[in-house]
Amino acid sequence: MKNFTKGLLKENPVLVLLLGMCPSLATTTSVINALGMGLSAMAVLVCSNAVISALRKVIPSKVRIAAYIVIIAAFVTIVEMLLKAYVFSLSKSLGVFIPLIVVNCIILARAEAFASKNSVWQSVLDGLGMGLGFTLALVIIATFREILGAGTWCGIPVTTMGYRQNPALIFILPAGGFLSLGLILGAINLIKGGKRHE
Amino acid sequence: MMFFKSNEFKMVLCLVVIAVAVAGVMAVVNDLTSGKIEQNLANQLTESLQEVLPADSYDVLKETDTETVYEAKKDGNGIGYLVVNIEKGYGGDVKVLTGVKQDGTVSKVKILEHGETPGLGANAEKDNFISQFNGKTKGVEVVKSKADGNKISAISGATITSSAVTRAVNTAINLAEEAGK
Repeated sequence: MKNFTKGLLKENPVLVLLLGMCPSLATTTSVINALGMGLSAMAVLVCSNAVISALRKVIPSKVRIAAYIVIIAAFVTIVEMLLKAYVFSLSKSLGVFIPLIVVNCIILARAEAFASKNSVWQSVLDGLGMGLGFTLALVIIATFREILGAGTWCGIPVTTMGYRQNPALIFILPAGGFLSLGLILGAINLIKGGKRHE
Repeated sequence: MMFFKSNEFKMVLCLVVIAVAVAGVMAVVNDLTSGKIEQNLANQLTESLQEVLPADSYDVLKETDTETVYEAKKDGNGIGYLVVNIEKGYGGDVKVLTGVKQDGTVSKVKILEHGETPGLGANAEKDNFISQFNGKTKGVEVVKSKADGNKISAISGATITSSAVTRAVNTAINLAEEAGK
């Protein structure tokens, strides 16, 4: 159970481990995109963790990274094909970010740091926890950016008409991504009382 | 045979086995989904064509890597042309579908694919920008202020996208005119 919950808050991949910064900045311009990205990455993470953990005694350590990448790429391609075939509209809005899950360092990091050393079941739990933590973090950043930068949440207007016509566009732009991430990380550290986890 | 027991051989074997297994799985999944994906894409195109200029049938008149011209027919008579073409936007290629009626006016414009900035250039897809093209004729111009006549107003903060779409529409009107001769 600990392996599941640690990914949500204590070792949240984005907000605490600071992994996967690229998709965290690039796909958080709207809440819908963040949610789609987070869930797709979670699906890949759970599957790749399971397979890598099952094969952990077979793969020679010198070629493990190459083997992991092939396995991860396979799942990403499967997710991409399934999305295109059955959830066409979502695959259109996520576009190039789906194939880019291959290079999401959270997935390789969990394969290397957890799945290669633990049982299949524990690795699946780890993948679920980390995947949910990733999704949660993306949604938090996207909420911040979409409300300030576009005045909407999930496309639903949540601010006045006047604000929506002239929102703080910078929060949608890349620079605003960095600003939002920094502010959110700062806020989280403040809430945690500035204590460092062990 | 020492070779087959060496670590090097094991490494290669392991990678080969994984790669072959993965390729096999990919082939199966591709087989299961490719038909559906193609159908989705085809449906999407027909839907877009119907939305931009409703007609009974669409015949391809001209097809190159960057441009496709369709003739729209209703009850056997040509009612106009549809052009799909590509222009360089801010974040890559912008693929635009323009419907041009027999009299040379634009029926409707739709952006099929783009890689523009969400919240800025991507707003070109939204109605309050794209519907400005409805009813426009040859030589549409983009302006940054309030538009009148054959002009459209650019999206603030996304001039490059706005002019890319406008270029695409202008090219489309010219192609339709050529096709009509």
